[in-house]
Amino acid sequence: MSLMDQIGMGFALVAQWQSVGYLILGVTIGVIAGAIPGMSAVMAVALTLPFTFSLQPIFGILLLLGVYKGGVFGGSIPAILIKTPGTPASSATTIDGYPLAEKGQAGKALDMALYASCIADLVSNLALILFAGWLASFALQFGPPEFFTLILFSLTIIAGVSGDSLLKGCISAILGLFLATVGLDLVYGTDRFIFGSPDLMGGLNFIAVLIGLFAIPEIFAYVRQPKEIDGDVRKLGHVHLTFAEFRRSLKSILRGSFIGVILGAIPGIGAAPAAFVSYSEARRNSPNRANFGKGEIEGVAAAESGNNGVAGATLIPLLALGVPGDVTTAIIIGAFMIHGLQPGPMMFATNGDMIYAIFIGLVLSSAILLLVGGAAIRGFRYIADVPRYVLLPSVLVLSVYGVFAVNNSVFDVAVMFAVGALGYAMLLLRIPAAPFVIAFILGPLLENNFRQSLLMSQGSLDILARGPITWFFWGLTVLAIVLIVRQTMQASRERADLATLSPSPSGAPTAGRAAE
Amino acid sequence: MLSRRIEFVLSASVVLFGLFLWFVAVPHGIVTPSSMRSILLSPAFWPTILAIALTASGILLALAQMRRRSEDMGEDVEPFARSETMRLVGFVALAALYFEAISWIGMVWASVLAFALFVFLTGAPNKIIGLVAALVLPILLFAFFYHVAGVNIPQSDFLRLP
Repeated sequence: MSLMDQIGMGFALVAQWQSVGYLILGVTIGVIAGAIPGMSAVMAVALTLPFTFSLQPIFGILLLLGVYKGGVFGGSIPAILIKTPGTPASSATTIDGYPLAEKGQAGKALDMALYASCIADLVSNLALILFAGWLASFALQFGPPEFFTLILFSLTIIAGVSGDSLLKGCISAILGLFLATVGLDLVYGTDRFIFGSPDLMGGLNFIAVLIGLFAIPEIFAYVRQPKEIDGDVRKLGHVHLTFAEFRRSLKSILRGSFIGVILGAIPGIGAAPAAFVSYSEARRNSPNRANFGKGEIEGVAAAESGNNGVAGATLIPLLALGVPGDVTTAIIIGAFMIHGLQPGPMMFATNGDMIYAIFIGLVLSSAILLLVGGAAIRGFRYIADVPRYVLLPSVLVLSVYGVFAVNNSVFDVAVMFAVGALGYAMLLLRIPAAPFVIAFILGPLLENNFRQSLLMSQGSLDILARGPITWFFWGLTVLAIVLIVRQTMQASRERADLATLSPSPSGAPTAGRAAE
Repeated sequence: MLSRRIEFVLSASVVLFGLFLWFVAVPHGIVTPSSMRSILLSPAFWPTILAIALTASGILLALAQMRRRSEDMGEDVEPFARSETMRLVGFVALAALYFEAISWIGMVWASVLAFALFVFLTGAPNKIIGLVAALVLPILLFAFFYHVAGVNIPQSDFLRLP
């Protein structure tokens, strides 16, 4: 099939009314979920996933991508209106968005957030279309050893999602890798941690683990302290964005979009750093830099464009190489697998029509976001009013139905509750859940490629460094580890210095400070 | 970062769990074929590496705590009030009951029951709204999964839905 045939078939897939309908539904769900404080885009994608099983793969994938895109923007609405970012990536939007809302200009801030998000999203999608195919054609030369080294390098993204403690991130990832080994061994067909249970032969259900880790701990946390989220919803006001203000901020929007694309394409960095880098670059270059932090519209534009510029770019490693760019795309990889698709270079050859349909759908999603986002801004008061005493038990029931629906298995529901309890313990002990999920997904790929390589080489490890591609990824892995260790040690030194300088709880200076 | 005491307990638990996996779970939980071309291809190889890595991470976590300056006190896990503990225990019991009730009264009514109990457990300010949602949501989800998605949602003879 030629490239033009594939593009034509991709168009045909998206040109169905159901494709557009599911995309609109996905963006709507994402925007609402992102706008509800306490829900997150990750949780929304995880809870929507079971609803896609009965759909055709293209409809299901478009629905999930819509949720992802909508969720990223949705977080900016509470960030501006109630100073509570719906997603961590929207934190930078609060800096200037909330002061504008306090001045009665929330409508202007939200208009800018929406336009900046849509433009950045479009730029990010175009970057995906431009680079994913090129990267995939390069990756077609990969065999199991190359994939093993690539996935090993991808595991370094754990550092980016480990939060305060890299070691705890590693522990979380090892637990995820370990849990992924449960089931029948793929080479010899022997039992691994099955203990005679036929339910465990196929391994632990990915959805059960995912929902258990991301939804159930939130329910535990609410049960412990059942409080509604406080926050005075600011009025939209009658001041809206003018064309002159938009034109003045366009440079920051485009700069932020490119920052988002570059940082998003590197696995593990994520949207929050992109938003802050974009914001600080805009402040550095703006003639109004003194007004940043006090309600500068350009600040909102920069933060939102950096944040949304990541959304399409994280799909570059996902579609071209089959490795996730962040937690949400890790879940989307699972969705591809459930629908019998394996993202990666081969998908461009075997399911090219699907790839191009996704590209077209993503470009369409930017326009849909503009419409749905505009409506969500006006309806936020109703979204914010959903009481948590209805929301959280709804999530519980939704989780049980969703997890059961994957394999028609009540056992999976038990797995979900068990993983949920583990997730809550991890939450209390500040062990991040994201590395667990990423490792749980990448674990089987890593092990299978490792063992396939050894089968090819009759047990010789030399095959893992057989050519320039493997050397390149080994080099990148070593470089990433060196940088991560250096950064971690530097952060730990800074924290220790801060502890020395900060006053003791009694208010008296510590020994270190007294000595100084 | 948490207080040193908690971090030490955590690292000790990780080390013990890693050793348990290494010396008990892997040897007893994995069936290894008698004839293998290479030890690297053994089904137990990868889990063993992970158990060793987990043990090593636990040790490194403990060492990191030893290197922490005494001024860096970190924060303690917020202590659980008696009412909070009771609610959490209640939720665990609710989850167990929910799971068991699926086979007794079917998923729909088990969900209605679990939702309603949740509303009372967390002391919802408006119980009427909570109870209406408890009745409506599971039935709507049943309608979607059973009639649209074709999932065989378990039902019992008790108030069987069409």
